[in-house]
Amino acid sequence: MTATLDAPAARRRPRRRERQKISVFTLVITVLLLLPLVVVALAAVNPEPYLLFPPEDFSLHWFSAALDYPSFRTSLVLSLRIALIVVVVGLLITVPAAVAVTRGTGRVRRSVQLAMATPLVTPDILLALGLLIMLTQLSMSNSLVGLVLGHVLVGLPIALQVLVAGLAGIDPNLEHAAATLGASRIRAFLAVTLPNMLPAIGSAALFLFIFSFDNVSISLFLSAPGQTTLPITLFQYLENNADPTVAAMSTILVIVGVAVALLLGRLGGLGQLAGGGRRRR
Amino acid sequence: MTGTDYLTVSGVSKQYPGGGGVDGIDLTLPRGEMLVLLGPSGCGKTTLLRVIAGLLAPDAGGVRLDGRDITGVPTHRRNISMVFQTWALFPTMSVRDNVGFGLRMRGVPRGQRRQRVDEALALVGLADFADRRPRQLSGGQQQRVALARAIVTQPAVLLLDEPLSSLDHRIRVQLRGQLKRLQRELGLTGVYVTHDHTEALALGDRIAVIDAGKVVETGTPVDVFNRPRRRYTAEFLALANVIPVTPDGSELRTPFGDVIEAEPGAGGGAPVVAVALRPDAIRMAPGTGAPGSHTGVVRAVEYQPGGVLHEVQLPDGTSVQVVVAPGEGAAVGSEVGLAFEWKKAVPLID
Amino acid sequence: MTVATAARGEERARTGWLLSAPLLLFTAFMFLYPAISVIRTSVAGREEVNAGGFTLSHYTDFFTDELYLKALSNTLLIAVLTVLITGVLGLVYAYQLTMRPGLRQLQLALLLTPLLVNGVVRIFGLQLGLISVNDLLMWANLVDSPLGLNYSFTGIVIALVMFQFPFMAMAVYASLSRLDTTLVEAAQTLGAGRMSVLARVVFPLAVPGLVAGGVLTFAAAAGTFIVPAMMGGGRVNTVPQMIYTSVSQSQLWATASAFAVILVVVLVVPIMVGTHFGNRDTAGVR
Repeated sequence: MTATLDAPAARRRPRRRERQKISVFTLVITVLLLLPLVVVALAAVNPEPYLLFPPEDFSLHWFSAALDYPSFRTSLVLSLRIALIVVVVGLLITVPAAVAVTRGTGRVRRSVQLAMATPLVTPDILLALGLLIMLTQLSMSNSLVGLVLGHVLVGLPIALQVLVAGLAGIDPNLEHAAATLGASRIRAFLAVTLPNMLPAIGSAALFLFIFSFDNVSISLFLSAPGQTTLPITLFQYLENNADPTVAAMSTILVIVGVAVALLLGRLGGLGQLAGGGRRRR
Repeated sequence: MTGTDYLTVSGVSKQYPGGGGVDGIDLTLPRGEMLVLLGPSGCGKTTLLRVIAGLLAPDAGGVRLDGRDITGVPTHRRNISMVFQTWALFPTMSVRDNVGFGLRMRGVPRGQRRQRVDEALALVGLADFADRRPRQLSGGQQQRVALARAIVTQPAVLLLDEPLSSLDHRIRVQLRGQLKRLQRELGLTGVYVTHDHTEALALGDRIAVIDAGKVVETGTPVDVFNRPRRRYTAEFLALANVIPVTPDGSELRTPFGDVIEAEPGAGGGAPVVAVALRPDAIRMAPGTGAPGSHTGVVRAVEYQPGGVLHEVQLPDGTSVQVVVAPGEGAAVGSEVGLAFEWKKAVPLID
Repeated sequence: MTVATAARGEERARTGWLLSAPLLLFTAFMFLYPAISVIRTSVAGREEVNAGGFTLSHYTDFFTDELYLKALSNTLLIAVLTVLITGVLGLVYAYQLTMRPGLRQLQLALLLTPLLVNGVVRIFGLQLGLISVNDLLMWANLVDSPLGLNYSFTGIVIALVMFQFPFMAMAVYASLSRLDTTLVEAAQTLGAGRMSVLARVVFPLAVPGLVAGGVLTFAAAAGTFIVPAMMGGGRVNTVPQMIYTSVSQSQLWATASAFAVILVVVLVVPIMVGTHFGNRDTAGVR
């Protein structure tokens, strides 16, 4: 070791900065990730009939224009309808499966895990093309069935993961206690476990909703004239022109996404996204 | 360096916003000895250890090691070693790589490194486990890997932060012996943090009793355990009855009226506030009325390896613990006579 | 085991299968039927759905046409670049968040929120933002002509990094959650400086997360249609774009299917290698 380290000066020098609580790097990255959303919103409140950034004035005029634009409106209604059906179908499939995973045997658990891994590692484009071929072969390419089935498949893994995490947090002894008090297994489940599962069910429903509502890759292949979902309509509109109307519609989608994020944060499901569910000690 | 100033801690303070930490600690340690920092959890003993390690910067004061001021030296250049409470073995490395890590950081060539690692593992009896991962070992084995990792670099000082506290009692006692033997044989200078006074007694060449961020007293284990000077020490060790006294000239009076002849200067200038009297320095006889004795009521009885411990309450409310040989005990609720051997009492100051 | 507990175990298994049956049947149907359909169509004699016959010409066409091969190399290059960039950024982000966990919940929420916003909208916002960046650079006289950020290869990679970064960061962060701060301190007491700690203690712990995030990012980057379609401005051709245009514009079902099969095979090899490497590297750690 060098002699300078022994010098009194070294001792008095502030040796170690007090560690900052938040790193500048993560802050910058976070801002960069959020910036596109803010830019869209700012472009939408500009009253001029062309995209101007940053805006020089403020107006909500383009929002009503966007909602009055027929093709936006019909596809918004279609997207909402599909998303709601997806939520119902998805929950009907995943809630029982989640119970089977947490309370069932190891064999059941492994089978479900395997079933969930396949849509995760299969590229969406193969899934979409396969669905389109399947529906064409079954002569169903012009019905909404394909969109619903495709969206359910895309939302299943995250919905199941949220539900399993929620169920795993419930002490099975609660049900056992109910049984010692005279409740049958089904009554014990309905009276004790299900109410405790409600936040997880809410999170799963929100994920199913937003994954369907936002879906591009499946919808792109399965959309047909008269059954174009909102994201596809936006994509097609943007191919030709970018104006404040589309910025306003986009802003509405940003608001929906942020609202879902807030709700998920409330219900404790947000962390499940991107596999962040594992809580640190 | 010789003498008592191989490791010197002078005036070290480190306060936390939420309370705790240490305040103006002074300690010295000769080369080759083991200092035990003994105190309850939250007393600041770990804070002090981390200041010595350089993992915490003190607010005030400094640390000297082998004649060199190391207060401003970053941890990795202090040539120390530390065994953590959780052992902190690197999960991605094999046992061999864990133990060899410090040597690698010091640029020791591969062949020599391997030889020294093997020696260190042999010392702790884990020669056959070099290629395992830490997770594949038992708690006691992991602890010994941590110890091997700490001693293989021949550190200037070995720091140990309650390294045995998460082990079973039996393994703890066994490893304690092994640790003491290694420290003696290798001539290691060490600082050992614990809240367990049997560990302190077994391992320490010196003991520093710490309370609320300050050193209460220091001394050899015999001094601290047999002739504590402070009331806090006696109470914390809980090896003896601590009986409050009031000084009265050259005499000390107990709450129940006994008078003790105190040696001149017993408190070293400070007033004597209590005396420590070991449970075997009180004689107990069934019944009442023996001359020079007090009558008390047995409140609790506990069987211990060395005899039967009785908790006896005197009429003034004072409770004392008395040990008698098995078979000579009295039943709970019965009246007994107590005679105190005040010659064996140790005066205590605050 | 007594007869009673054996019976109860059997009942439990039966209930489990019953409850998971809808999910298992649904995924099996929705995965197997389309997969088999695509494979069958890819070797069909004519470019129609339900066409019979057998030929491998759609595959051989792919590998003899320079345009297609260029698209494949574009696709792979984009995917590799995206993995590398998100890997580096994700590693730094996750390490910083582990070491400086101030307002951790809020930081994670802000990281994940963009994932819940529509992808088309996010690309649109990115395009507007990149135009502003160019304007800003020109205004500040840092560049003479606009940088080709939008409608270019660079733009595609930027957008994919934006999409995949949160997944990579979360995967690495989950790995680093095994990083006990005492491990860093232990390395310091053994003489390791800052760089040694990062290279020998932190990085090995992050490897499983980097592999998992890398596999996910690679598959997503190579399989995306919308990003090159919007950010490439028609100048950069990729395999997913060819699949889409083959079907939507030319009804070339067999060609599109063959391309899809090729894409999956090309994707599966690096994914398997990555997963195998990742598993081997972490053997015995869990």
